[in-house]
Amino acid sequence: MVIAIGFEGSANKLGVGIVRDGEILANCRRTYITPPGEGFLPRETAEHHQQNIHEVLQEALDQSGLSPQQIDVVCYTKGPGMGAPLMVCAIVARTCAKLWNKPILGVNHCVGHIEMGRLITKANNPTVLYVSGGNTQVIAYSRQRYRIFGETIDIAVGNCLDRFARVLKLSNAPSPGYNIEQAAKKGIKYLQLPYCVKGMDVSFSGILSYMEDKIEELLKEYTPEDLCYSLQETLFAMLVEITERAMAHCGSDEVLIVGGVGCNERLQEMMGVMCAERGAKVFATDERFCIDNGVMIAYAGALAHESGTRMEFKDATITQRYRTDDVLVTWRND
Amino acid sequence: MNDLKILKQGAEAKLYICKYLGKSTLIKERFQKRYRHPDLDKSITKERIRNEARSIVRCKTADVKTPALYLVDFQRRRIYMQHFEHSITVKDYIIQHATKNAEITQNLDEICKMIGITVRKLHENNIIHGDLTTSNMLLVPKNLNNETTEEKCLEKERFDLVMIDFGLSFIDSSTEDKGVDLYVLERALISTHNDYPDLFSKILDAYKNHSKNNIKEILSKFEEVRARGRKRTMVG
Amino acid sequence: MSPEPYICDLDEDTNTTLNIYLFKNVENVEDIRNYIIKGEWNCAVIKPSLIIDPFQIAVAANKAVVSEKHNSMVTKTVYAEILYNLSLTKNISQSLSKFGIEKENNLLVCFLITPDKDYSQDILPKIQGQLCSMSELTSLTNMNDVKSVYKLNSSKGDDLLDVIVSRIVTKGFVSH
Repeated sequence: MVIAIGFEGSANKLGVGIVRDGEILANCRRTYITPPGEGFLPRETAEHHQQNIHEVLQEALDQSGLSPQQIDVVCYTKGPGMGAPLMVCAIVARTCAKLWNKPILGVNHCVGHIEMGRLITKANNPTVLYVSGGNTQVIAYSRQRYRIFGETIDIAVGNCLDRFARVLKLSNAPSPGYNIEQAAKKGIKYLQLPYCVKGMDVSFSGILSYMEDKIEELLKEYTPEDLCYSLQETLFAMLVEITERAMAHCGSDEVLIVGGVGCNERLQEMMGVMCAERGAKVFATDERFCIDNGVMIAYAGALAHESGTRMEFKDATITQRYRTDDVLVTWRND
Repeated sequence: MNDLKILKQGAEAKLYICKYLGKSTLIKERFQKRYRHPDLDKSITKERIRNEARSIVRCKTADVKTPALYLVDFQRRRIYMQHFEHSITVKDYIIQHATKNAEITQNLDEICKMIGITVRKLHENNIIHGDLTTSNMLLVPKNLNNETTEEKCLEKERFDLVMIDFGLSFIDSSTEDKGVDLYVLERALISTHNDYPDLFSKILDAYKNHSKNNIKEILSKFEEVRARGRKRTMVG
Repeated sequence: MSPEPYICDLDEDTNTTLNIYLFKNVENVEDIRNYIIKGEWNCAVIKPSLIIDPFQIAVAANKAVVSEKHNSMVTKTVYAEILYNLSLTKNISQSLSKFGIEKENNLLVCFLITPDKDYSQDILPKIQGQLCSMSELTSLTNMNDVKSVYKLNSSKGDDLLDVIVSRIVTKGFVSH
């Protein structure tokens, strides 16, 4: 039995979670929200995390009803992500490990999403679509690695959505993507946008610059809701297409959607239609787990710890660049 | 009369084989995808049929072997083309045969060279394949008459490399797109043939040596695209 | 025993069979031309010098009957459509004059036969010429003309037929 605490702060969410053998004992979170039209920057985001992390940590401990001595391993996000915010969590995690005299373990953020998704949905060996503000990857497990079959060759899908929300000056609360999703529900008129799939890879920058360049003109003919709707339909069709290609390639009949964009219900619905057509199943989680959180780091860390992965204190650093396929998946041998 | 036999159901198309106009024919039918907006579905399908047919024809002047086209039918969402009965995909060839003996492993070098030269010919003619994988390359014996077995045919100079599946192809002269095309191939090789880590470098050597035209620019674009994937900060 | 025509079943959905006859030394070419121009004859008459293999016509004819079924023909009749399809230009009258007959006295006569329509037996006896085996077509083909019509300067010889039929079926959206 392993009890793990996880610190996550690679982007604008700050989360602390506690798990015991896959049972979630605490899942606490704060989000740094910027004014409409603005994105979040590393320095300000790190400051937000600094100001909130003690409170979130206390809240998590209280929620779990545990004392620090009962915890077996302290986990934190090693990367990928923004340097300064990552550092805030790493420092607090290191301090806790020293203070409580517990081992420390750095976790790959993407692997955290995947393992959290598998835990919640009970998907066995799914093709994973990982979609967030910084990532767009189609991943499948093979021989102790989560291998990347397809990904964006420029910006992430969440980044494309966020930046389009800024063009329309939509609110960033609770998240720009959520507001695009709500607006898209009221869209009626469909605008054809550039569609760019290359093999199992996708490109989104062309769509974004098309929208940015023509926004004045487009708004004469289309409502903002129409544009949100058209954008979602196009981006998600591309994602579903490359996911299906990867499934066909691997002979897989399960899809797991993880990452912040993964809680978009239209994306889940489209993926469901694709899966139904090929006799496959789609698994997705809601915003408690899709959006960055501490539980996913705690849980993935617990799996690694249980299977014998250890990290020396001097290696408890952070890295902005950390590929999903760099991680040796010691806890799976299928 | 024309019994359609389903050969394969892919992610976006069904492949049938039949006799058509007296020839052994492969029908590629792109089916409707209900998950996407009907307008988008229609335009993607039409565009891909058109791009596929266009590139297949263009290849023929670029000295790259492709199937002959017998009918392009937008209404039925189909392309009718030559079916190579005695062919094997490069993917299956590598998986099934390559480990058997040293002679065939040598063939692999030969195949890599042919792939490199072929991709280079495509790019010299501004044809971007868009989906370069070993499943989209066929080995076809040159002379079938001499009762040769499939394996014997796959000796040096006795087979052709035929390129297929141009649905994601387009015509573009930019070095960026050529770099991305190479990157797509490298990624496909890594995910499909991770037992043979040097396939791509052999292909790239042949690609480089076939012609010097613009090669520096293409390779530096390729490195740049590759770096984008590896070094992206990936926030969130 | 008279030589057999080239017979090819076209697209199943059209229920049509193509029959092609090769004639040499035809004496009434002028009359035949007039019958066709007036629309009295339901057949296509093609210059053999531009044809390297009857399959070339089969592909063009197949495309014509499929277009007819989909109501997407460019020309007025399915027989004119065959001639139009054979050429790479989108100019209809140029296509018809290029592949149709003028004064030459060798010709290919093509019939589209369906279960309820077969005009071949009415028309064939009116052609005053020597019916030949299709194997003689090769001797009538003018390779230089074929290469110029299909813009084949750069392609190699062995796959000529493949290149020609591939160009025929893509002429609507590929400029050659």
